[in-house]
Amino acid sequence: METETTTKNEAIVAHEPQNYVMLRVQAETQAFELIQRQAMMLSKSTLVPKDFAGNVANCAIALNVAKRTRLDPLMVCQNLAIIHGRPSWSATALIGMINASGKFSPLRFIMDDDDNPTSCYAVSRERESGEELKGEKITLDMAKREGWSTKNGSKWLTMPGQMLRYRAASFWSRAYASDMSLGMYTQDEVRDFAEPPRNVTPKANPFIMPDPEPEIETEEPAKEPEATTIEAEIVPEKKAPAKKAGFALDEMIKELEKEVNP
Amino acid sequence: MRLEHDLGRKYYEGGATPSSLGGYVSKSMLFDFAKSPWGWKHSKAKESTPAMALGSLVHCLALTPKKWQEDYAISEFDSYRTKAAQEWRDDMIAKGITPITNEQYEQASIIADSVISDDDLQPLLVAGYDTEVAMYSESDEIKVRGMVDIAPKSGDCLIDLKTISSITSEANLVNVVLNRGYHWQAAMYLDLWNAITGENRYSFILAFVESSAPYETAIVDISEFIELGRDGYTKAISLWKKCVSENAWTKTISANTKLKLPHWAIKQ
Repeated sequence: METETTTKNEAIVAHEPQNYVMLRVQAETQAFELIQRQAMMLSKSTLVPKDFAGNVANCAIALNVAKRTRLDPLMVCQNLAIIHGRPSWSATALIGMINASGKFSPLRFIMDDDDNPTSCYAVSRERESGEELKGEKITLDMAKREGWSTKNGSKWLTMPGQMLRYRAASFWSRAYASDMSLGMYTQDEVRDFAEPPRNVTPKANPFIMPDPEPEIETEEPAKEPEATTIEAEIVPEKKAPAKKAGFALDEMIKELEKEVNP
Repeated sequence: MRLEHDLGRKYYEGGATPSSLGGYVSKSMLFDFAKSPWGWKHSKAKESTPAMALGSLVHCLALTPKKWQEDYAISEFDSYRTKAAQEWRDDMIAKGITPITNEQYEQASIIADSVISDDDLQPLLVAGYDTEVAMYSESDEIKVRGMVDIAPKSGDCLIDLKTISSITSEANLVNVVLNRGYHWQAAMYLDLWNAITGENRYSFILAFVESSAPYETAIVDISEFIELGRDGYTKAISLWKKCVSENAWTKTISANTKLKLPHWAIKQ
């Protein structure tokens, strides 16, 4: 009896990893199918922005992000945009996520001048330790040097205060709460950072004709005497002189005469 | 391939025009042509605007100050309403001389002096410089020419003067450079210069000066735009060769283009 039980247990133990893998695959398949159905439904909604409307794949990514950030899927769709092919958060959503996280006190923005700001940094306090967390100072000079403010239609020229705040929040989140943004940039950043694809291969000056490749003169090495094939002289084929037709006819007549008159 | 000095207005002779395709192509001609070959082929000669006339006078006074009277004459008349004034004006034009007023001369003199003596430009000119150097060469069997405003005797740059209504901002200058094709000019002129002289200059300086008081200047380097400019002008030369050889002049929009409805229109 004991032996029988032991054998059964051994059998279960031996098969357990395989069952576990099977179960996991099954669970993943079910989860995938579920998220696909959810994405399908979301993509048909008229409330989702254009990047997600009719795009099941984008909706599935948004659902994945929602799950990881514990946010409402519709909120993710509303605040996640595909800019230059990159998913990116709106700055307001990022600030909202930080403020709602409970880990930090609400973000504050310290400007050098309220009316004509030229610099700003974000600051917050970690609730657990009480430590003040100060972000990188963003300046208009930095925006200029980085080329953010020189792009066509740049908001840095028309609303510098707002852009300073957004960029300060973004820098702060990357320093202290990168888990919340999942490493994604904000939409303004992606617009500022992205550059159109450039052909980095410099073109040649079209007025300079390339020099012709110099002919390399090399002394031919003395050749070893090789076995040579001597071409046989073609001798025109000598044709056998045609027999005279009369001569052949005479012979035939003689042969016939022999047969007829043996 | 050659450089020529002191050509004055002779430089502008022999250029490719809609009625004479065999002449030299220049940056400004190619830039207009590339926007719409069909439009260029069916265009008439550009009429000089007051801004262009002032720009030419400033160039002349800044670059060839001793020769300005060969091309311009100051009118002694207050206006051209009298017969004598009209006759003098027509006589000048017939001689190829542009009549200008004293006010125009004085304004252009101040602008020219403002830019040529600019503190940011002067360091580039300390070793001496040549002005209005015409360059002639060929690319892909097409005759190409350009005229450098200022070629410092030493250094790595070529310089071009530009009059502008308002400098406004760095972003505005970027737009001006791209919209007027100054990056094509930079690339083409540096390529021509380097091919003819064997030098290796790589920097192109634009000396902007405002056309109204207090005549602010901006000396900017557009070397970063050169690769884009080279791509533009070489493609334009290829397109020019194709259009001329096939006598087929493409339009801005190719035939049967299906316009796409933009998202913003759907949202309206």
